Amino acid sequence: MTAHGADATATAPEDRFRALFARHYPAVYRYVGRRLGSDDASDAAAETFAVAWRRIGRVPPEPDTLLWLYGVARRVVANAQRGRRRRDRLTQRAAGHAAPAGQDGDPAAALAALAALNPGDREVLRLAAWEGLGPGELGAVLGCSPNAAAIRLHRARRRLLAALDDTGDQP
Amino acid sequence: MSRDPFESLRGSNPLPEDHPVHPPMAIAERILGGAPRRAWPAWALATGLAAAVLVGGGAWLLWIHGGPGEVVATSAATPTTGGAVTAAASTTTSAPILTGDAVVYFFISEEGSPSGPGPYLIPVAQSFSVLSHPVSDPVAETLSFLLAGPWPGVDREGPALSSYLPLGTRLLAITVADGIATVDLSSELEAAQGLAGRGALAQIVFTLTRFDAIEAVRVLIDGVPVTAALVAAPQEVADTAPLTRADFADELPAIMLESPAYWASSGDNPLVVTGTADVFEATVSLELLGQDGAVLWQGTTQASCGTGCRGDFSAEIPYEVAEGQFGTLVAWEASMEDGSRLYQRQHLVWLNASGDSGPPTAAEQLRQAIAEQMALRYDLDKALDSYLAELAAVDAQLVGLPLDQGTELRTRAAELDRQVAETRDGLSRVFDQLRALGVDFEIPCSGAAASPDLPDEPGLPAPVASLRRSIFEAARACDWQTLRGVMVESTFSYSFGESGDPVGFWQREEFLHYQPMLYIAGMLARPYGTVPGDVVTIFAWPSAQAYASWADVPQPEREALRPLYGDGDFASFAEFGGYLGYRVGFSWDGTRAVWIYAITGD
Repeated sequence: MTAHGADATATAPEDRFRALFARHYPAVYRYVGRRLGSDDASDAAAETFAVAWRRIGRVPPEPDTLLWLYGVARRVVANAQRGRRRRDRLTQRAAGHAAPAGQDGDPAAALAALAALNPGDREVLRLAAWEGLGPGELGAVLGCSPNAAAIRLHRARRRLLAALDDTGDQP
Repeated sequence: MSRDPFESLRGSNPLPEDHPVHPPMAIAERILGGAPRRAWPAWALATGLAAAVLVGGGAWLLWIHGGPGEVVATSAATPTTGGAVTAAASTTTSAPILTGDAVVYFFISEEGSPSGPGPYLIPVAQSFSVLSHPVSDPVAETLSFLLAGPWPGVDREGPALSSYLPLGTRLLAITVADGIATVDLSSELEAAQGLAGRGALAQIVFTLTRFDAIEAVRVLIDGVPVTAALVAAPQEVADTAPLTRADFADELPAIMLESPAYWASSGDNPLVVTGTADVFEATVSLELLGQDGAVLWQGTTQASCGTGCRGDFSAEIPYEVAEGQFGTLVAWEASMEDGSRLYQRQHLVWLNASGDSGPPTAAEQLRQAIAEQMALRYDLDKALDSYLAELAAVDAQLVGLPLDQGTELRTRAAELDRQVAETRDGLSRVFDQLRALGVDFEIPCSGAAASPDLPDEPGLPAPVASLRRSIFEAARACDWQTLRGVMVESTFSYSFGESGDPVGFWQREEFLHYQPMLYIAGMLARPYGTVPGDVVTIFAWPSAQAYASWADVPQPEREALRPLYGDGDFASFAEFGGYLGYRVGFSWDGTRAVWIYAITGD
């Protein structure tokens, strides 16, 4: 049944899973690690692949596999952050946006500016800057057209610049 | 340095691409230990372990193994051997349930012959029970049981069984003529090479030749006869000659118990034992043990040939047990030197209590399994309702509460969150299982609670307005057919990471009390927004999603989201920066309105 109507390169789902795990685990781990920190990265990566195994029949073939995994990982990260949000409302609020100020071009300043953006902007910027995705790939992960992804990225970069000015102005 | 913070962002990647990460394959194996949700859902029933396997032709095969007996259900095909298949009326489903034993051959590793510990070929009964479907081809169906491999979890109860047939091997065709079965299998079989290939062929040949009408087997891979490369001893097996059991004599243990098969569930009394053996002076020692190890019968029988040749043997073993149980049939060769047991073989077999009509049949277990799932659903439903109600009450109290207060409430909310999630996980499994069993079960319809009023929106183009009304009415009635009819499934988006079947997704969501239909109907009754584009305009419900940020959403449009969303949700939208709730959208190109999404979250 596994290959009825599927592509001609059908292999046992277990083998396919092992192969995609071996190939994409590092990228997925880095993706979740960048967003959740290394403490939770292993769990989130494992959860992402657990989802992939449950839906192994729906995982697109290469070269789209990793983008699909990013899409799943994005939801896993969002869930993890939702859980954290409830717990951390107090501490987050207390910490506010007391981001370290720095000079233009300073990574810390850029990170602080990133933190000041809304999550949608943050994610599109991170995907472009850290995962190095192009518009078509961004669209695949975010579930929108390449055009829309390009526009979102453009707007997000503008807002990042604006946020940098804001945070950078702090003494 | 660049003025563009995006460039410095690139340079401040917390985990750069060259950060070394090694895939922990042990984690992969642990994930594989679970089963893919749709193709192979794991069952965890109170009575024991169960699992589902896909067989040829898209059929479901469900198996419950726990305590005395096994259950298998298939969704579209009825595997059966030449053995008895009984039909019993079901009380919980409209379809009768068929039960039986399909006997296939797997390898077992244990001391079994003078040449070592195996693995050896043995017959294994794959007991099954199915919601009745037309019996198509018993031979093909039995083969599909073979291709499916040993049931997961069976190892817990005895030595490991293994199959050399590569997972994913499919039956393409099988014909039987003049005592010769010609079986065409998919190219996955090529993965079995050398000894593994020979083992795979042995499994196929023994399984098929158990049928009276089949004496020999021709195996094709994608229509091409298997080459000698697949068998370890090419000189013994000509390329296209049909294979017989004799070709694989060396795969057998010294004493081969053919009947009853391992895990046989027929419960015959007397137990009719048949087999072949190559033992000293052709003397086969036999013993039947009860579940507690008590000897119920002991004796010997003579094979038709011995001491260097393989002969047939048979015996009838009468027994008496107080209640039905799995006993153990043991066969061995008594050492001529000291009488110790050589080449011992053991089969777990079902023993009927005196006066019993049969073992607790697989059909009965299937009915029980369905009833259990239904009862479980009832309990989980109740629990979920009460958790959700309490969570809503706690959340309402938390709104506006200063952050240094309400610690207990926050703790309770987190606890309830966890309980809701766990209960939904449980319900989700019940949903999978009822689906897989082919049971018709009620899916709640949250849309019925939606207000029947759909305010006129004079600004909408007529096709958009008409599509809006159709979806609104269908959502209120949970009219899945209409919903299916008004969407283009291939382009419709309903949740990221899912694809293909929005209706199936919503049914599950309804089952888990997410109330998607209430929200879809509710959103459509609220103000809309438009997102202009180059080619199409998006009409979006509710209007809140059409704003770049939650802060931009005018107060009246926020208020319009009540009561589906309240202060607590608004706070989380504000925190997130934008509307996070359910949304529905159509595209409009000036002539045609297309429903393009209905999404939760994100």
